[in-house]
Amino acid sequence: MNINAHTHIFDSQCAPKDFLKVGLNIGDNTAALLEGFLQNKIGQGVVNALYGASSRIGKHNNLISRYTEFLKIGTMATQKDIFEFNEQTYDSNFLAGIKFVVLTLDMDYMSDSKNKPVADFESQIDEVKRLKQYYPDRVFPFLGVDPRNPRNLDFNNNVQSLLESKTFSGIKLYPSHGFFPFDPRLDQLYSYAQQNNIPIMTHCTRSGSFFIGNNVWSLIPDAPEAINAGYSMDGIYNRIQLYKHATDKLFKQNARICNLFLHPENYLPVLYKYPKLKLCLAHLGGEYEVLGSLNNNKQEKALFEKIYALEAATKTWYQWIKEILKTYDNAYSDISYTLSSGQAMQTVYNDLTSGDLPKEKVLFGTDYFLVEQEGQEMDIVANAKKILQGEFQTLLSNGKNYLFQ
Amino acid sequence: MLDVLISFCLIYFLLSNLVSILFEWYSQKTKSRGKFLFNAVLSLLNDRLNKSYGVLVYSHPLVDALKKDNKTPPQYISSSVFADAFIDVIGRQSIKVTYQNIVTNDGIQVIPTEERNSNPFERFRLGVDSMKHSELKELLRMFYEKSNSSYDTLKLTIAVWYDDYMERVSGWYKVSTKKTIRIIAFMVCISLNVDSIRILNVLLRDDNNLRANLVSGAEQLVQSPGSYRAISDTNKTIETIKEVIKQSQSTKDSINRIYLARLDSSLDQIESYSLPIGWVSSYPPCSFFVNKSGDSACAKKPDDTTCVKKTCDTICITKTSDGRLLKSILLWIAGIFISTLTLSFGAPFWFDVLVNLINIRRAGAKPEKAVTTKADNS
Repeated sequence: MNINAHTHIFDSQCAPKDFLKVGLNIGDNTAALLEGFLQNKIGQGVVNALYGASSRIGKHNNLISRYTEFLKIGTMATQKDIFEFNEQTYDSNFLAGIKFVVLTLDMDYMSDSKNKPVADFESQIDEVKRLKQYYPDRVFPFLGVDPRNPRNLDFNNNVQSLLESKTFSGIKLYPSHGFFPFDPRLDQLYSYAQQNNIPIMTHCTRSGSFFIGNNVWSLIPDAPEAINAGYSMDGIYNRIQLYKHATDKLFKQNARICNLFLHPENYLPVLYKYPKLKLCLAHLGGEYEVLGSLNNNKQEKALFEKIYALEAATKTWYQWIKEILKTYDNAYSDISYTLSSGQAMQTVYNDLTSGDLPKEKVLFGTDYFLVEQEGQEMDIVANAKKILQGEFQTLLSNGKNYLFQ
Repeated sequence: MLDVLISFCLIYFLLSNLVSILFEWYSQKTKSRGKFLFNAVLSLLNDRLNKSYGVLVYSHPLVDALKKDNKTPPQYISSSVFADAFIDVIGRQSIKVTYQNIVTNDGIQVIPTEERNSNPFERFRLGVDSMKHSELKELLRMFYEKSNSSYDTLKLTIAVWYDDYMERVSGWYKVSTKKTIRIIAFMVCISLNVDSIRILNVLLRDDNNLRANLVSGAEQLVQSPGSYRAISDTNKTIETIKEVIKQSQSTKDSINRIYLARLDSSLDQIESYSLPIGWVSSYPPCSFFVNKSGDSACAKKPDDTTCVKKTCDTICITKTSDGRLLKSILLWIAGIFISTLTLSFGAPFWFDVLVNLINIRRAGAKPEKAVTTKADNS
């Protein structure tokens, strides 16, 4: 049974109104300008024309066609449309019949209240519930949980019942939206998940979506309260201080500050308390962390070195994750999004074959449709398959253990 | 004077009609009507204490089927479709589905079990009961309490509620589109050189019996609104635009073809009256430049007698001094501005005014006969 353990199908209505700066990985001012342009009918016409032109000439690797493809998918009318677009793509390729883990994201709190999404999280999961009815043995949704959302206070009705009915097969956490994974409000969830073997998928890369509100520091106290598990929080608290007092403008951006929520070390207090928790630290830490200073891309390498100098880090996130996978029986990671980098996949392949990265603990996932920013999904998958060779099939079938064992 | 007013109204009606077609086409292209409707439904059904029900109504199969593609929201949702979809969306909240996963070596079998009340009215009631207390819940509870356990009554109540709301939405839409209509009206005025001041002058002078021609056309139009007239004289600007339309009509998009055909027919109507519009060397602002260079338009078109006459009139105005030329330019700008404003009122407005004026004209003819009869009797 082949499983793509990491896909998204949320549409533009599920995202905050200022989501573009995250989606296209651009600065606040550029995003505001581009958003204004795209909200304008002329702008939409230009995107459509560019997309039409780039499709006709078959240039799917250029920047414009990649971003327009991403925008085209993200602005489809319903989540069902976005899912079916992907499903049809797979069914006409070498991975026909693959199952999909569909990760819902609670984005109601990832920006200031004035920018709340048009479709709130309740309606997002309502649509996904219907999708599960349409494709019961094809779609395995994960329920997004943000400890700030009051719906989680009624754990029995709003979380537990959805997991017990198997409408949702797991939990999705997206800490960079503004909370720490060791938040005590998640204690009940972790306890229930460990007890019932419910898989949890997290986000563990320095890129991706993040809190886009105005005052990110209001979410980060000097010493955030943590699940009391006897784990020393010194390293985590020290990192917060380093970012708070950083002088470089780079570290005053939300995109960088939100890395504090994502650090793999943040999961150690949780795993100390719940060592059998089935937890997937997605993306293997991301391309930057997998390649580190060996990155051929000079810009990415320079950024990596700047961040490491600030954090006074001694190991990469990739190394943190590898250690966690070796230490905890039910810890997993996946190659989603990172698979778009051929160089990173080569490193992963070397580690899988040498045993440095436990091959039964790594899942296949793509991070559809966010990965479309890097190229066409099936091209990326085909390239990763070519690099990972025989290990590719192992990763594809690891999802079965993660989801159902 | 009444004839001048009627002629003016007919001209504005014909040109407003053109503006309306262009606006409809633009709305269709930009999906603006559909997006406005979508936002209106969202704000009607957005329940912060429960869910964004508007989004769920739009993803309901009944409404989803109205979309042209997965990007274009429907431009119109009937109250009947809305009511059925909304009742179902609320009722769905009471449905409980559980799944059983049977994992084998070969794969997985998922068996769904659905707990669902088959009576849609009951399902709606249970759905409302499952909601957190909110304004929308209060409203929906009132609807089903008024419905005497009848689905049809419930549907009717919700449909009436939706229709009432849509009436207000139409008003908001009209207000929101005024700016766009003005821009289109301005573009029409510029492209066809619709100078109201010049038109007034021509109508007052009554060149080529234009006034009588227009009044008779107006009478004919009011009597049978769909009637067409044969083209009596060709207008070069309109002919050029029509040529472009003709070339574009080979487009594969059937909707574009419909709009192009409507534009063509609207331009035919305008052309049939030989209106004093268009970019002709004898009309302002072209005439200003023709005269400045000392090159007489009369000499250029010796065989066009109408043109010679009109051009010579213009020469008299503009030849005198630069001060007069500036005044003429300002008058032309004012003429375009007035036309833009008047065309943005819309074709229905001008048609109503036209009907009223024609009625006054008809009413005015009777006393004359009465007076004549009286005189005959005496």
